[in-house]
Amino acid sequence: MGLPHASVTAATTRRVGSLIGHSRLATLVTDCWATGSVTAASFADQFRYVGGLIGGNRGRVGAAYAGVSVTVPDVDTTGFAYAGGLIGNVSGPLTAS
Amino acid sequence: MGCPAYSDDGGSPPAVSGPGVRLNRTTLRVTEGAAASISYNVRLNADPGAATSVAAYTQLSVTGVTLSSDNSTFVPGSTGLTLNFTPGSSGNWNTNQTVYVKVAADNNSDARNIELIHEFAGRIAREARLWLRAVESANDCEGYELTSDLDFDTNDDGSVTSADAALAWGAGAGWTPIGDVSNAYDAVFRGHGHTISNLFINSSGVANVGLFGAIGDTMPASPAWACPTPV
Repeated sequence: MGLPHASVTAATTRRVGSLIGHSRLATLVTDCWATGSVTAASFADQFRYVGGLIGGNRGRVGAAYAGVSVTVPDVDTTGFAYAGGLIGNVSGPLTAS
Repeated sequence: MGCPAYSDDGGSPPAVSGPGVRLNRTTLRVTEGAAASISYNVRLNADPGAATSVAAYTQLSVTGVTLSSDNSTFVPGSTGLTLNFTPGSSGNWNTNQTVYVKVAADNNSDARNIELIHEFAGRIAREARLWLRAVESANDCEGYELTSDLDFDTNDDGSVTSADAALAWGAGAGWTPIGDVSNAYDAVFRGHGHTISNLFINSSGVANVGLFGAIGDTMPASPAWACPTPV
């Protein structure tokens, strides 16, 4: 499945992606792609994951790509943000992505 | 979107380094009360150096699951199974052993996710978790599918503007993400190669944002059936 020309903007958020904000354990995402833009304008708390396709991923991802402009705001000196063209934060396996 | 016929989409799990448990599946679909069993294979991915075993079982709270190494013999209530492996070049550590599974009918109409745990060398092998999707009927609907291309740019002027319905949704917020952590999308989604063009979201105060906000079970370590995937 494809998401061409996506425009996703989120303020006061945790996890943002064009396809999925938060992919939990034991999930499977395959054969997906996106183009466009993903923007996190501000974050709600310490969960700050922004990805072109998936914000935070704990499941399995394969055969996926993203040509997405990913934008995160400045964070303060104690803050952090994970950003990625495909996935913002990964704790699951990737294959051929 | 329509409700698709379901097909099992579980594939091989990733390999692990060092001695560990290797399954040939990560997910399996089983019909409760079915006469026929389903099966998967277990072996080790490295020579253990000494005789060892893998214990396969469900969590204690799970009922109705029977595991057997013999497809002709199922003892109700025997939820645990021990598989023995031997080391060396003449050992069977790298030979698949088949586990047959049946799930008894329960008293409700809901499908459920059941984790099969594999314990090896005194640890629960995280690389060898297998999820059963136990359904009431072989024809149960397991999710949704995309049957055609969709486009948020409804007037086809090249962008999502006030002239498009999508911008009016949610007072300008556009698409409302499907599911969140407290109520995640927990089913199959098949895109069948279709596209959703010009997806438009402009949200505020939503924790998880995307076409899908959150997918997977609402419990910390659960099911394997959230997969936006064209097959």
